[in-house]
Amino acid sequence: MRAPGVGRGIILLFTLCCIAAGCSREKGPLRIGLAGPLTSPVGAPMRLAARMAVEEINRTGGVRGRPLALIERDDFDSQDSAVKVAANLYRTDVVAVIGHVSSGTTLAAAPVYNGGATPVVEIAPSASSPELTGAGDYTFRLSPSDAKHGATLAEWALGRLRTARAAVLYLNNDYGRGVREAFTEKYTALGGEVLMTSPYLDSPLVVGPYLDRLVADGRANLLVIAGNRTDAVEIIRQARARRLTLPVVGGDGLEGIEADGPAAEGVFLTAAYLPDEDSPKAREFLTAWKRRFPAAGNPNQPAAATYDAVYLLRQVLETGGPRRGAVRDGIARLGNATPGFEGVTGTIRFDPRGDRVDAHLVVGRVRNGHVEPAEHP
Amino acid sequence: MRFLGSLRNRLMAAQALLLLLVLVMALVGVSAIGSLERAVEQQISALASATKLSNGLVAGATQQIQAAEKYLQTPTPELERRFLSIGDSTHRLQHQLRRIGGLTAIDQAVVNQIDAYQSRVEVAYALAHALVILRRGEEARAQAAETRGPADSMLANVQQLSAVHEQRALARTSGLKRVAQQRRSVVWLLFFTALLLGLGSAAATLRSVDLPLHRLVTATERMGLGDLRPVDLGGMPIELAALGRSVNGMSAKLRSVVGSVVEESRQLSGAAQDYSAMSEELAATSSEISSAMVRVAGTAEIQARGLQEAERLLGELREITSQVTRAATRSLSLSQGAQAIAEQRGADTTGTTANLRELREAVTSGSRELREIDRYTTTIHDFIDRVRQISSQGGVLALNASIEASRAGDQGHGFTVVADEIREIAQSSANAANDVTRVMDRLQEQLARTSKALEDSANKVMLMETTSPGVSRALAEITRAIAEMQTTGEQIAEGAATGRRILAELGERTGEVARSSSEHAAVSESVSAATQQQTASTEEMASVAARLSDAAQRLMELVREFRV
Repeated sequence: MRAPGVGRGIILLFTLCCIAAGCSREKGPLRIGLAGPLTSPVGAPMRLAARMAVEEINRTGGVRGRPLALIERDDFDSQDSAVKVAANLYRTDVVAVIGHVSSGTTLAAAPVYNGGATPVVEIAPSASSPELTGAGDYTFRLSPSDAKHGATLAEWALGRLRTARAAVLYLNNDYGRGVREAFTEKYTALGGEVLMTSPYLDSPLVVGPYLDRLVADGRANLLVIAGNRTDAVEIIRQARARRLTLPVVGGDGLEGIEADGPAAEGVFLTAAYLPDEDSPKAREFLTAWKRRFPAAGNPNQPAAATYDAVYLLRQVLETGGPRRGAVRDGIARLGNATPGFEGVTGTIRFDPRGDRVDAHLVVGRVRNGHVEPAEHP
Repeated sequence: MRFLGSLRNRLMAAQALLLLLVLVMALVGVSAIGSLERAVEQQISALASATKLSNGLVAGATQQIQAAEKYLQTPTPELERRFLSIGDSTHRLQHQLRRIGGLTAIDQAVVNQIDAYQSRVEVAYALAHALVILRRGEEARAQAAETRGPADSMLANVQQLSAVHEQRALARTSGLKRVAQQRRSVVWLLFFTALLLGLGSAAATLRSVDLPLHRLVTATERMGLGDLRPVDLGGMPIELAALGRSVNGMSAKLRSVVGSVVEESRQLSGAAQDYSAMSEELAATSSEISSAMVRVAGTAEIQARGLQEAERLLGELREITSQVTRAATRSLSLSQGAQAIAEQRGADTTGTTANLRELREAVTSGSRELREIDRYTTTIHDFIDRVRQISSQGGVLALNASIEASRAGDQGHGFTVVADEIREIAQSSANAANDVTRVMDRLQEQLARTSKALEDSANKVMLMETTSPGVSRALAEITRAIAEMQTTGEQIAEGAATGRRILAELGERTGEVARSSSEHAAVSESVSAATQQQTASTEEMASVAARLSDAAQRLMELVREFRV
């Protein structure tokens, strides 16, 4: 008679533990990690968009009656920091992570998110490096890959700008190299000639010798900057200082450059999102954004993609629950077993390697401090 | 637990458990070996890739630096492309290195550091190359010199990474060794557990067979010694319990049999004692009958002897009677002759006196013989009385025998018949004796009358003799007397004839009585013999009853040994 009593006691204790654990889990907020350079010009709008989305969702009752909570971690756009941030978020009970922003940090953090016993989903709103394709079962991205950006740029430069001799300055990191490689491949394939391919570092940013060489050579009629907005502005300044007037094109790394004054004027850039896009979701988002953050300026692509990511996670959590594996499966099924998610950045669905299918991409041109679609140069 | 009640199920369960354990052992062994293999393979492949990637990194960096240095000497587009492509492939190696499983955050950081250093080296050389193109040699050299620090750091990092990989490989090898040891211990533990469980289950099974079996054997032995109490079936396996139930069933049957045998023995013993008593009683009555019969036979013999004697006497009587008849006949013929003489010659008195003397003698002798007959008949009468008495005694005895025989039951039935027969014989014997008495009375009467007539004749003859001188007177007298004598002689002859007839009848009756007496004696003898035989058989019966009683007693003692 003793054993059943003990067994019953154990079962009771176990049940109580389960109930207690369940209570704490069931009632507490669902945590979503947010990682990126949250204080940089690129990352700050992303944070605002994430907060806005969470606020909206929690106002309408959260997910299955549980509020969402953001765990924000700044990686300072550093790969080392990104790995640490990733490890930290992995250990907390986040159901998914939105981040990181750049391809380098996303790639550096991907093994952390995809490893261990309970891998967690990493939704990169803006990472575009081709290296990220197939980085892991739990890594998804919302922006088109650099290959897409590079290829779009190459096609556009040859087709619209009709410039067949390009000089490529690239930030010597995964992103820069990714855009450069995609562009060069497509460009040369379509008959263009890359006269110069030169790497630079954002710190210290030294591009003088390259620009001098361009000036000396004089043949190039297109300057491709495969780097970030701040690098691009500086490079353009230095180029203009050397009276280099050739058109400047760049990838989504140049996003927001329109806010950097006259140097940015006339720059062409590819973008997965433009605030002026004409779609109901985009308009709603922009209206909400302006009402919520009147002083913050226009949202950028990472902000729009992050906003989409939060709502996408809500949908997946509603249907599949907060288990990390279920979240991953729910996202992987989007556009395959289940319909795609209609967001600000268009219909979101993923291929088996975690890339977005038919990612929406436009080329814009900075004009009077705004980016406008540049379909007709 | 009910399932384990059966020996068969118990054995099957034990075997299944053993098989399961062996299977688990095998599975654990196989999985241990498999996981070890996989782990080793993984480690080796990780180590190989890490080594390959590290080597590739070192080689790439070195080659890129070489190409860059060469470009500084002779800047050609070919060298520039080569510089770029080597750089790209080296960066790809870094990506691959990042994707190798099991990199720690520190490893990642080291790889990122390598990437950063390489990027700096590349940028520095690229700037130097641009300066070379711009023919700014001093600046180019200065720029190229800036690569040394990052390049050294990069190589140092690569070496550090290799060293880390090596150390990790060593650590993992020892880890694998530990895991292998643990698995080995687990397999051994399982083996010993299986062994112990096997031995335990074997012992338990053996015990579960042995103890109940021992109980059954003891019970059976007990049963053999007469203890028929049932076997306790508690805790027995189903099969042995079934056996035990059979044994119990058998003992129950045996119990009931012994019970009824005890009861029967008791009854048998009682019956045997009754029988014995009855037999003794029967034997006693039989011996009584036997002695009575012996006595009957003795009296019958005496009767027979007496009758023979009587017959002999009657024969003598007949002889005497016939002599009397003959004498009467002669006296008749003599008297006729005397009458004729008296009538024809009247004078010859002398011859007449002589004839008268002769006649007187004959009459005297006839009278004397008749008296003797009378004496004899008295004797016969006495004897007949005795016969009647004996017959009466025989009848009483037969009645007693019949009563005794009826007490003896079926055994005495034949005896009753015999006794009845005896009684009948005694009755007929008594009847015959009565008849004889009756005849004898008539005979006595007749003889008395004859004797009186003879005495009268003798007196008349004596008178004739005394009166011879007056013969002539007397002759007429004589003639009348002779005529009277003739009449008397005729009467005598008639009486004698009657007497002879009666005697013949008497002889016949006496013979009948004698025959019946001897038959009586024979029957009595046979009865006596039968009675003796019956006595003997009754004694035998008594002894058999005693033996039966003994047997019943023994049986009861035997049965009493059974404990029910």
